[in-house]
Amino acid sequence: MEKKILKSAKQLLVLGIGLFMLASCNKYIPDDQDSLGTDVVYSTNEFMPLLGRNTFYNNIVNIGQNTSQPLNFKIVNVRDIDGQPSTLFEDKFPVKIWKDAYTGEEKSIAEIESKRKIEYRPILEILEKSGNINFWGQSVNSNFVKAQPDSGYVFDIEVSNTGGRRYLRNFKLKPYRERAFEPSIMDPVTGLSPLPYTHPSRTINLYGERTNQFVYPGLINVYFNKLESKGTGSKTLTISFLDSLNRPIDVKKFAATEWDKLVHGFNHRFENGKVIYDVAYPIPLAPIKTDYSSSDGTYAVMNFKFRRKGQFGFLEDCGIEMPFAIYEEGDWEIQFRFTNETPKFD
Amino acid sequence: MMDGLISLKIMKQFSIILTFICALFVGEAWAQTMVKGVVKGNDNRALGGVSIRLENPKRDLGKTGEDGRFVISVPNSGVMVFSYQGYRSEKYTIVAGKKEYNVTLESTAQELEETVVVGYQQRKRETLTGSVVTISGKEIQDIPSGNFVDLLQGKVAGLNIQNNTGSPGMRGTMAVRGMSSFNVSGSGDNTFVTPTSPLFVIDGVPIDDNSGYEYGFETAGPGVSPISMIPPEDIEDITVMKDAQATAMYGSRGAYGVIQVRTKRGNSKVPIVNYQGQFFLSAVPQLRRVIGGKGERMVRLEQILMNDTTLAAALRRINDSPILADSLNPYYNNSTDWQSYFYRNTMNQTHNIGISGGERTFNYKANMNYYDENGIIANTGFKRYTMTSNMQYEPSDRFRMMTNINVNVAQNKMGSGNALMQTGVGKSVNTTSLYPSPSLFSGSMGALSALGVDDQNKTGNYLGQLELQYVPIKDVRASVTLNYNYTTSTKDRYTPEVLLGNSSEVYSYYSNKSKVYNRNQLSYVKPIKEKHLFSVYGFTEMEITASSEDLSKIRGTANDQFQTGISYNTRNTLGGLLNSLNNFRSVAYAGSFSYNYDSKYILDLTYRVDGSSLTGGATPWTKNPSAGLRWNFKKEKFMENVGWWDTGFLRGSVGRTISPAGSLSDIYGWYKIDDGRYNNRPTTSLDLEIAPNTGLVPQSTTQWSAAAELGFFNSSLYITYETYYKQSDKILDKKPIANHNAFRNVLTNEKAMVNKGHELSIQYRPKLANSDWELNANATFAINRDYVTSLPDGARQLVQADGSGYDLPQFFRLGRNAFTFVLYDYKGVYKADDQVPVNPLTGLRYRAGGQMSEGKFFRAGDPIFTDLNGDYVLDENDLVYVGNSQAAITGGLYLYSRYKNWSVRTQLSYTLDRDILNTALTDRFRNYSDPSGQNYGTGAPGAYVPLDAYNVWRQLGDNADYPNVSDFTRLSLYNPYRYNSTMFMEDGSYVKINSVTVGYNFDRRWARRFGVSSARINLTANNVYTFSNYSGPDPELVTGVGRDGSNGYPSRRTYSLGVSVQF
Repeated sequence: MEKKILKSAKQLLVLGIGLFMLASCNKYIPDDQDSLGTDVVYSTNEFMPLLGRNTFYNNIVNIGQNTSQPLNFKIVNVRDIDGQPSTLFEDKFPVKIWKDAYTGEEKSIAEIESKRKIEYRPILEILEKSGNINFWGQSVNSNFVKAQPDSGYVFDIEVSNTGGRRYLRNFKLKPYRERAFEPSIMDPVTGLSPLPYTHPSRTINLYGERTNQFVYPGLINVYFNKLESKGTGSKTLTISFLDSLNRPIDVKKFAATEWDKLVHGFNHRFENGKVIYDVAYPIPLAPIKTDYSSSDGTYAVMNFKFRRKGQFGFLEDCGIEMPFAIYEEGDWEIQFRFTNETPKFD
Repeated sequence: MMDGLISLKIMKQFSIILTFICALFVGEAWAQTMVKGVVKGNDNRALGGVSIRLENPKRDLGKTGEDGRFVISVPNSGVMVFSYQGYRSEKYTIVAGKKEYNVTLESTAQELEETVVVGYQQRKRETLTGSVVTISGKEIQDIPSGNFVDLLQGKVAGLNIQNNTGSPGMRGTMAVRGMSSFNVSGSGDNTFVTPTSPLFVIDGVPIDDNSGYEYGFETAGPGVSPISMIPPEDIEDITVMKDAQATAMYGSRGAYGVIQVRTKRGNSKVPIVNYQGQFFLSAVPQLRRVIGGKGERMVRLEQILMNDTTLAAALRRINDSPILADSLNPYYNNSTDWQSYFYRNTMNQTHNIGISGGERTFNYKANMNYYDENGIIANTGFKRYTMTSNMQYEPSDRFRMMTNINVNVAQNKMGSGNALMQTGVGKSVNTTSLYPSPSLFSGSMGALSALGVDDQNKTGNYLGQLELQYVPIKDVRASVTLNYNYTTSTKDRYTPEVLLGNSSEVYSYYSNKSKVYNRNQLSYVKPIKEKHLFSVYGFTEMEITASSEDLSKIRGTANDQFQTGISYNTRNTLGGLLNSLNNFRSVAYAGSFSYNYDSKYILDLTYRVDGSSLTGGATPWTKNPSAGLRWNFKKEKFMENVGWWDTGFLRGSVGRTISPAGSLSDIYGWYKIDDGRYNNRPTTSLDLEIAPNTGLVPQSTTQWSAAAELGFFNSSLYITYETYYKQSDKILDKKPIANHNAFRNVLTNEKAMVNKGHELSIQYRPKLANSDWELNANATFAINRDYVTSLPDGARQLVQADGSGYDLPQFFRLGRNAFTFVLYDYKGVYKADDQVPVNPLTGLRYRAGGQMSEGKFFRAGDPIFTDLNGDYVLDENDLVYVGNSQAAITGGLYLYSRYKNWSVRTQLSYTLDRDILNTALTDRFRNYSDPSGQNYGTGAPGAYVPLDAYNVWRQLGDNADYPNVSDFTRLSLYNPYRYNSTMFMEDGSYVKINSVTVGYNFDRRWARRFGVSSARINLTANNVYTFSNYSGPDPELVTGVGRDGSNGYPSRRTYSLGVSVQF
């Protein structure tokens, strides 16, 4: 009897297992894995960054409704335009990255530098999860990168998640050659400068000494000169003014200028009628609005000001506004030359 | 159509007269000797409702009362047969002179001897291969309800009912074995899942509760379903069929399960008049907390002073805002409790009179019900007047005729809302307490409309049904069922001009729906050598449904006294037929074969062919087979000697059922009146919204299931375990097509999903030695998981954007549960500025997406949202797919205990493993973005939620659960209280005490002194208490996609006093 019960129990067990297997029809249910649709699209497939400065391409990936995030992006198969593999972008170069947020309120070069550190990164880099593309520019000399008018490089991007992988092909990288400062005076492709100078963006109540005519921005030439380095690692920015006869004008004549707010530099000193700042490059340091920048943070802005008694005895605010950016480290001098006549200061 | 109505009315009157005539006749005949006695089960339990018959000549003698006692008149000789469901019939010979008979009936294995109707065919429960659960009407009759479906919560394993609206007369959502569709309609807070409620079969006639009555918000009309018109008092029992075998023969629309309702029938020689009345108090449940009066003003002032850009700006802002600065002005010096104007406790009543009587050859029943419930939101309510009757004439074993005539009228008021949502009230309640109470002077029009709109809805449902059965030759039974059902509804809403921009509105709506249903059935049962039983039956089924809706909206009547169609404002006046015009036909042929070997092995095979006008011409017919097996292993030799184990069954089934979806116009297209003109007359053109698709097929459900039923200890413990795999294929959905096509969308049957799960129900009914005591418990447990298995165009994933400001898209992925939230991953609050991550490339802090601005950079007190793609910008690429808005585990516990005349009945239900979004709380926090109350746009500034209840960030270093709400100048920039964040995703599990009933049966002898044969009173509390960790008021009050919006209708708590008297 007991045996029989045991046997029937066994039968029941077998049946139970059968039922359980029925219940676990899992193999008919698809795995819950990420989906990778055909709807991962880059809004641009031709990248034309400038050598010598950091270019970050943000928001260039458009991910549609059939694709799961997060995704993994990888740059693969970098090659010349004629198909020769290029190992150039596997090499890593020292670049400065931020550890803490730049606020524009730092009180010294050391404070700024303590917020940055040097890391080694390849020139062309893709952010693993977002697909944003970075082009690093702080390698000192980027002559080894083929710049326009060369056709540059071609690369593919591998997109993957647990649902699979897909290749987005034939992205073009056509860098422009270095432009150390902005506003640039160089032709972006040839690298030649038809004129050696640029102009400030605005002049306020400047009247010529001789003719009492308004001094338009076009009448002021601005020269960006990289000086022979005085010592290793010295980073300064010098600002000077010349009159139409190339005689120095003392910057102190712009008496109302807020020298602390002119550029985000420190330790300013007046030497030979020039003002010299210790600065950190690039200028501006980060693309946000600070006391020293334009409203969108892309340029630093210098405001030179003075006050004089105007035509009818009113006190007038006078000045020059100069937006600019400098990407290459070193000792730079920005020189303003009044071409026709010197403005009235008194 | 009028003719039909009139004839129905005549039939109704006729039936009433007939009822009275019968009552007169039956009362006086055949009285010879009065005998009395008591009928008990072998467990010493008094049995009520035991039918007592005379064996020869066959006629009914009466029934026992609820305490098991009977007093009947019998002839001086003969044999009395006592029979009762679940007990073996007993015969007692009448002994002349003996006046008292004490009868004991022996319990058979419980449940199994009962018969149920499955697939329109009566079957012994013991022989069923499908999954069928029956609930007695008694279990739900002590609780007043506008819709009996609400009362089934927790009673059937695998029937998930969420009473997510308290709107009187409306029902919540329900699904058998998980949802069968993952389509949604609407957007934002008003996103609703396409309902896949089971098919209701009322007295043998199917009623589809999904189309037209889903929720009042979709239909323009009252939204009262015929299901709401069935009085719970008139229900004999409710049978829920869950698997493919049980639902196979219902074919069309049986894909979502079937709920069969049987109304009471007459079964007593002495006519029984039954009165049940209940008086109940609907109490307002816990509402949302707000700060009032001075407290709110101080919070607002402090918020501005602490957070504005400068002190000067703060002072200016305060002085510009009269609700803050002009606090001594009586107009602003308020502490208005807005909720008190809308929510109220109401006294309600329901009365039911049933008259029934007759015996086998002729019996009848007439039931009248009146139900009146005023909603706990002012200006809402539901009234029901029903008159249902049936009679049966069976002169011989070979012929039977049954008729049903029902006339039901319902009246409901929805205020300014619709059947499900009370948007007007929701908005008004969310108003600052500093504003004066609603009045024309204060101009709070939303509130006044909610209170002052005259909204009257009437729904009438008229039904006539005839069923004939005839046995031409032995073992062959032919039957014909014919049913006509007509529903009409009207809505009349008048909005006075002062509430609607000086232009009054007359809104009137009329709809009608008619249905003709016919079923012709032939069955043949052949026993061979006692042990083999063959049964074959087949039927044809036909249905014609037609419906249309008219709507007219007239703006600008002469004055508020003219509430009819006299208007001058033709520009805003609309009217005409709605494009829901419907004409549906379906025809089906079904056959069933069943073989039963000695009740040990049972095989069921069915096949059904369905054709409907909603199936495209390309494949007009769908073929739905099913098969079921049942093995009674207790009858095998090896189990014979196991005494404590009484019953053991294993059964399994597989089958397919369908449900037509869509409309005729989806298949063949739709012409519309075009704006373009020809000869200065409007033209007709093809509607380019949806491309016709003749390839459309009905949604189909294929289900595999297996079950074990085990009974122990004289069946005092009965365990049913079931498991299933349910595949819903060919789900209809609209998909956009490329814009070079003329049409914008096309409907396809490309979606599919799978539900699988386990169900367990345990019934414990011990046989107690002491007959004073009775105990009965039933526990159910169901676990269900759903998976998306197919999406249009073979995609693995689909995100359907939400066009509203809530930004809560629908997300579907193969292999994943169908309703997943798409949210920002919230990880707490930044304690200090330097905790915010810095982008190493740019040196900028992590910020909110969009145009860069200073306020968007995160700082101390701001929420930590995970930056999924690491670009230091919080945008839609950082959304995660989390949670499941559908309950995985549902069930309940039913307890009944009786001591002598006292009884206690308790129903508990639970829903576990469910995620819900507390959108209402989000709304309340978002009100903090406008402390001065100047930027609210239209409407009024919002109410303030008391912050002390929430751990909100207030100062540097706080370790908070909720981010800073006060930094109002920045709130709109970085949007910390966004609707789509996991901050507000909460566990929606709950355990609810649905109802507690204490009943007392008056002593029969005592009652008799008042000329009453039995009397009972009960005290019932319904929706008693919900145990939950949820921070909102009620975790059940969420929409089908799991959102607790501000505009829902809270579920009332009722306390009722019920009286039941039988004459």
